[in-house]
Amino acid sequence: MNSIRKLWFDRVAWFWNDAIKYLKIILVGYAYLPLILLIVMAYLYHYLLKVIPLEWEFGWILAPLLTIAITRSPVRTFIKKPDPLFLFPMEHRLTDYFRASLLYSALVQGFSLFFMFLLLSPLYYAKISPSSGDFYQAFILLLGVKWSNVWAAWNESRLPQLARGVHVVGRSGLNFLICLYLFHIPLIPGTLLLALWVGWILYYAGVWKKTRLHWPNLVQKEEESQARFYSFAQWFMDVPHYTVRIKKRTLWVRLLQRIPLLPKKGHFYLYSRSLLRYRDVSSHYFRLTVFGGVFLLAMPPSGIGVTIVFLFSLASNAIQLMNAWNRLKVSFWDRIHPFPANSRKKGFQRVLFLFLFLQSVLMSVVLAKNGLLWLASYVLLGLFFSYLVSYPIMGRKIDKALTLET
Amino acid sequence: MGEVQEPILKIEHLVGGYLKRKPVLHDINFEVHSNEIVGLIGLNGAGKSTTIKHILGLLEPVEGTIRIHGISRQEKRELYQSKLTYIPEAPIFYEQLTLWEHLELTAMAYDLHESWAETASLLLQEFRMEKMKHWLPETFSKGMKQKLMIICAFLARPSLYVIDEPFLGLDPRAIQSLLALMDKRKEEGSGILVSTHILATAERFCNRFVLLHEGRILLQGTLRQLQQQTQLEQASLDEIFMRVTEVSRDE
Repeated sequence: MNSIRKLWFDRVAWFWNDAIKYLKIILVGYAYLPLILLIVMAYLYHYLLKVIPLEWEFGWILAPLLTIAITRSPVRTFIKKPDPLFLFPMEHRLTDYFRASLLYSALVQGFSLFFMFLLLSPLYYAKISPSSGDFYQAFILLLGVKWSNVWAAWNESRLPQLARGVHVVGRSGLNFLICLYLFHIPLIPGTLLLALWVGWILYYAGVWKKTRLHWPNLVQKEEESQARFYSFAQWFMDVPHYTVRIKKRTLWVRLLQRIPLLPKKGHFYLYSRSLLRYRDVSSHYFRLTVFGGVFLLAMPPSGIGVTIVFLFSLASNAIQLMNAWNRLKVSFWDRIHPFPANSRKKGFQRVLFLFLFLQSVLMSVVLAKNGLLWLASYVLLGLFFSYLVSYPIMGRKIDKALTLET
Repeated sequence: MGEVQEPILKIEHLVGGYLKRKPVLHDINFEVHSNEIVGLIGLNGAGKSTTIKHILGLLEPVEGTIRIHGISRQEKRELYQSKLTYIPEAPIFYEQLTLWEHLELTAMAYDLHESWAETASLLLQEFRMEKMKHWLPETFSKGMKQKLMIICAFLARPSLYVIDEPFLGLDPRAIQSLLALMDKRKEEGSGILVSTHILATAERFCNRFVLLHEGRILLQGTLRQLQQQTQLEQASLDEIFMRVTEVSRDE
């Protein structure tokens, strides 16, 4: 094996050895999560199939989902920060390295597309075509489109940022038309679509010839890919390689500006801004709240079903918000600043309670469609749940962490 | 400086380091008084940063005591910490807070009077950071990050400022501003402990020096006292330092 290929294999092996350690812990400790997800999905399918009229075109639901999955085709290069300095002089010898990266990305993303397609299969069979031949034919065509997207994304990585954005928009438009066509909604004739696809491939071949490797972009994209994995693992445990990504969230932070600047509020001030600005935490929080709200809105007024979805959505957010403590608990300035001894514990508990109770209220407002009694009951349930998680449960976790620290 | 006064910082017989069984500081004794700047100087690995970590409370002494206004950190943590601010050698900041939010947090930590915002504006102006006040520090240059640390430390008015290698990454104008600020706070009654390698500058602004070498104090006193102790009349701090560390190596 030549040294370049060996370098690539070593890096992939290093990443997977590390990733498997985390995945093992997640699978052993949280084996029930996929099961709960499957139950929720099965329930949702059942409900969707029941409430949506027969004449409704399901392709309009499947196509946007698959367009996102196909357009997002990042190439994992396993490039490291010092590479632009050390590998740049031998750029012309790196063909094998990047070819392996391209193949790896195509295979991994091909598998994920297959699983996604498999999850959507009940909808496909029920509403688009009952034939498994049609299903696999559609999948093979989509796989071809996916792989051409991986190749296109690799070519785009050589372009400046603005041009990349424009290309992604164009690419997703064509992908959307292809997906619609495969789900029997032909907005444009098949021959025209094929011609567009071939033209698009030829165009990207031209891009390849006119451009060269954009090292800073490769480093940034690779760091983002790694950060995504570690940010997922961070949900469940402490991750040393985790790099926090920050989003300013000016509008949301404005809501916090009424906190009085008193020593006893110091950590409430710090932690509330932290949770809002940690991109992964706040994005998951908003997503889980919105998904919870949409589910509750679409659900029939059944007490057990609504309570399960309500508590599941709250509990998912509680887990990820509680885990944010792991990265907040170690701060250099906490040792220097003269804040009261219990400021950290109280500050985090208040922020956790605020976030969870706010989610409960928002989801309860959605339930007001079933009557004011529903609204009041679920606000109370949310209040109880948020208190239980923030004070007795989180309190114990913080006490344990602080004891270990001293 | 001749009159006897209660020191702000008093370190007595400090033995310490990262491992209890293997201390790197041996019997350290020195004081920092009101209205004075003390330079903590020494080669790399002499024990300057370890001494500072002990003062800040990041390391626990194996033996000896560290007191600020007679209070040790072990007795009254909050009170002890409220008497000092710190500027680290490499900027350490909250990446999730803007510059102004760092200042608000500092104001909360030290329970500053409402007029802190005026002081903050003056400091921002002095260090030419007004435009960046609502920026997140990850977009700052190294010098700007260091200025953020300086502004936070000087926003409060503690008895003791602990400053580790303050000039790294600063432009000449910012160095002048920092020196002027240190001088002003010294005149107002604070004590300042500065660890630095830039001896020519230290000679100009420090009133006394503590020369550390391999975890022990080799010399301490004013420049005049150091000259007398080493019998190097007219020698600069640089020359004294070179001679003393050279002699110590030969021994």
